[in-house]
Amino acid sequence: MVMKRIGVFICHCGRNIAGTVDVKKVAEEIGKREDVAIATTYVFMCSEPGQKLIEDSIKKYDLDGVVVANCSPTLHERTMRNAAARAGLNPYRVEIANIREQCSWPHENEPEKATDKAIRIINATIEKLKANASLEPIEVPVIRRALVIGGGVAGIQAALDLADSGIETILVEREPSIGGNMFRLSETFPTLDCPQCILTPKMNDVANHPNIKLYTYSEIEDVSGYMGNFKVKIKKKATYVDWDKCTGCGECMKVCPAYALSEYDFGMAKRKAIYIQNEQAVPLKAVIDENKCIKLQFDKKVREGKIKPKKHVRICEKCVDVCDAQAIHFKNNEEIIEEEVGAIIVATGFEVMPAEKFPELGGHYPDVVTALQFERLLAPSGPTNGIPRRPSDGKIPKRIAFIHCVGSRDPEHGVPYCSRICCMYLIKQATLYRHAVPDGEAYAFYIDIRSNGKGYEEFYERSKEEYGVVYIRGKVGKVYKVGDKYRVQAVDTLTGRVIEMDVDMVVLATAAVASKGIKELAKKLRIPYDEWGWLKEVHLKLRPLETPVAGIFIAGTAQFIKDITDTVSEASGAAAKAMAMLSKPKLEKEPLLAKVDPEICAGCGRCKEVCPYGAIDIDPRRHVAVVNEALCEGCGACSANCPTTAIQVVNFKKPQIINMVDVLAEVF
Amino acid sequence: MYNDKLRDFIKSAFEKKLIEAVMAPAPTKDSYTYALITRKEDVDKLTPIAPVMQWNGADMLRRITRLKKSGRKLLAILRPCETRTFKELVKFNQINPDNITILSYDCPGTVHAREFKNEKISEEELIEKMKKNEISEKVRDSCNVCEYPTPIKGVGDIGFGIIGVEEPVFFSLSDNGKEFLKNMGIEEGERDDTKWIEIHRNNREKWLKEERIKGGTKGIEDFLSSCLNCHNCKDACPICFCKECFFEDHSVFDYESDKYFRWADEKSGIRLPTDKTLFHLGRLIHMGTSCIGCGLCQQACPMDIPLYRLFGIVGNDLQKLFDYKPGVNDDIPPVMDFREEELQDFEGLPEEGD
Repeated sequence: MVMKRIGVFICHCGRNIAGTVDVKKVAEEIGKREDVAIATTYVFMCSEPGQKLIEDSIKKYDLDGVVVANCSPTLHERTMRNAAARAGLNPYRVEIANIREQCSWPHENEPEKATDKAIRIINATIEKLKANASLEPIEVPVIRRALVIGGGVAGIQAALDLADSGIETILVEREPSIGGNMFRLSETFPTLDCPQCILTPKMNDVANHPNIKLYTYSEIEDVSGYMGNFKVKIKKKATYVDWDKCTGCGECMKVCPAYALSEYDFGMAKRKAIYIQNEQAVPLKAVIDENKCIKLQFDKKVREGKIKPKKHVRICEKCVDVCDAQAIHFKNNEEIIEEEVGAIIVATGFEVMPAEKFPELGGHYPDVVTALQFERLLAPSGPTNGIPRRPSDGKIPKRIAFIHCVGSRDPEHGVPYCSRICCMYLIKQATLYRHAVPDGEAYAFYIDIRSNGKGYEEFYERSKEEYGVVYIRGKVGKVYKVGDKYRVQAVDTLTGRVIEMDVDMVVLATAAVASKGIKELAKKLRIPYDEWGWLKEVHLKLRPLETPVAGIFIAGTAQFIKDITDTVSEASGAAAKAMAMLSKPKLEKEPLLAKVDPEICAGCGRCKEVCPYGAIDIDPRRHVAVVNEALCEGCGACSANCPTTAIQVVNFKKPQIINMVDVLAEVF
Repeated sequence: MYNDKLRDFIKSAFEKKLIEAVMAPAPTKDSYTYALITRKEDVDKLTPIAPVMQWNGADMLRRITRLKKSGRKLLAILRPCETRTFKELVKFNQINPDNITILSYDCPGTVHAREFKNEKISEEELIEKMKKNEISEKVRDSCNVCEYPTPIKGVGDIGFGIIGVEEPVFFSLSDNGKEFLKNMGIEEGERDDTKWIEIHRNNREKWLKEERIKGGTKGIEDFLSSCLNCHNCKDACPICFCKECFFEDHSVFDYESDKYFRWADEKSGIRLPTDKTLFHLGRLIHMGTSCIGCGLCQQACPMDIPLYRLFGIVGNDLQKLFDYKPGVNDDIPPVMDFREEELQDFEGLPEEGD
């Protein structure tokens, strides 16, 4: 079983590798090994002729193992395994030695050492390969249904694309209506389309599509299973209203005496305790906010024994009196629904940092708002009917400061990254404001204007030329209140002048971050995320829509902040990825999984405790660990934690790893 | 006298049908073994408090219950260190605690099995000293520096108090123990063990300071220089529960000759076998956080290497680092615990040569 005729194929990767590593010398050194039948180089091993070289060599030298020394295995492992398979070699007898990301790139300035290291990496890989077993992929069945999490424009688009292709799709949204952030916007850049006008048709399509099951006001409770076979528990939150009966007439909202800040308007307006999220909500149904409803709060206190129940006295219930449909029942109708799906698309979107996070910019004043809040003040469907008014006194602001990069590109106070959309939406907001208030003045304080999209730069120019928006290059240091105005202190970095300006309102383009609760959801899905909560893709360039968990895809701003154009394209892309998977009769799973040697296993359960996929159980009769192959992803956490060698990942056995370490650690 | 009292207790428990079996030490020609007894008539064969600990009693319970819980109501008489081992092994899924009642007692310490073979000593002698709050100079090193020489609340079920009272007392350590004593018709008594604990802890503090192995890698090599690589310490260790040790899977350390020669080239010669020190370091990593301090590794060493100095002190450091006390509560052992926030700083290592 130990391989004796190994082929080693060293890639130049143009100059990416060969510019630093002396590939000829590497091939020469490796070629001296007794177990290597051929060691050769080629300019691009992943190209057609490069693959052909490997195929031909396998046949010519009757190779029983192949090492390709090139880039990261996440890029071309599959390419090379497929090439070997075409030549009749078991694909699991191919290993990748990463001499680009782990050698030539980081050691650009030390070509000699890099060459030595490349030799070492290849030698270590050969050591591993020699003990590789030939494997066959594992076949798993596939359920032809999909789940889309998040009902913003990304989720809507993905669900529609899936449903149109005949795949039954479940769309889950935690708010009472789908629509997400886009539906709350005033107008969209650069075309100034009204998002309500362009999104409502899609929302209605979702509601009426025979292949879409819509759960709004619902959250993901639990996810188990694996690619093609996920089991999902969905919690439908208590609405206290029978949605089968509710007609969405809105009479209840008129009589309800209890108020709360409207989430839909980002706190720029109030709503009632019983409410329909907006006039175009899909579904157009009422829910009761249990924390604000007078009756439900009373009932709760009775349950907790804090107050005594009153017999024959109705607590409020004004909404019940006006509900002709008799839909309001005040019963806690929370329910857990179980669904089985083959693929999951996560489209959970983004939010912006609250203004309060930036007190130095006056974020705690009522008239200093985030850009999303200002969207509502500019929206014709918003609380001010599209003419912005100050939250503090309802006056129309005559001068507004728009501040860019609040928290973005600022690792100390916010996030290190550029939030990408702020430049464009502030340009849009300034334009719309000038349109709505023709005698108003708009000042934008920016670091750079980033307007790199189709029609974006033209839109920026138009805001200056047609709408007279004034752009000042400089960061604002301070905003404070002077009378009923707000004084903005900044430095114009083009002229070096210190600027002090009194304005009526300030709009802060606060940094975009991932949507609240994403980390909890990601843990349930077992997918990785970065410190800001953005979901991690498998490969930023080549696999941006896939997560490391097979069968779970990302769409829209859950991955990173992006504009609507990109979001919609990605949503369709993620849907296409899911369709490609669900259209297969059976799915193939990598056989690189954990295996238990029951002779050695003492059943201590350390592996079970650390398994992130819940794939390990202790057989009660034999008192040894057993692996559920369908759930195992082959991550190796179990093996690392096993005090003996009882559980190991196939082709990553301890002797293989130790041999690799030996070679890598050797002093030459 | 104390053993008579315990034998009476066991007999009475049989009569009252509170137990169907008992596991406790029994004398052999040159030592003491553990005996499993299922009839009242055989109870006189037992010496519940024995002066020698040849094996760890929890290790015996592991053998009995690993595959299936105890089918009979079993009373086990264990030393305090063994009760902690019991609790630790339950966490590692090696003992099924169902149907087992544990009785533990104020421990006078035990003598080295080899020394006992050469020169017999009675448990009464050790107990008499204990009653005067003196640790016999004959007890093993690990007993001398024992952190918990008396029963702990929540570890085991019944305590048997000897110190500070004329007549020994029974007291409960768990709800199960409370119920058991009630059914036995025994009133719970009290006794003060603080002094006995204090003496041991003072010894321990001194020991931790003075007996630490110094001198870095060379210090360890010197310390282990006479090691025969027999792996007896591992076999005696109750926490080393693996069926087959990583170090006995020879495929892991099978190297081709070239490798040996290359190492010898690089290092101006190498010691053979190459996996001796590594074995001890591996064991420290695997069981250091769970070392309950029974000291059986040291007793098992045919070369009299004072291994408890290595395992006890490193174990002590590791346990502090992870804020984990093995066998005294229900905390999850660090090796079984996945924490997203990993250990950030590590300053546990003493300076080279201090």
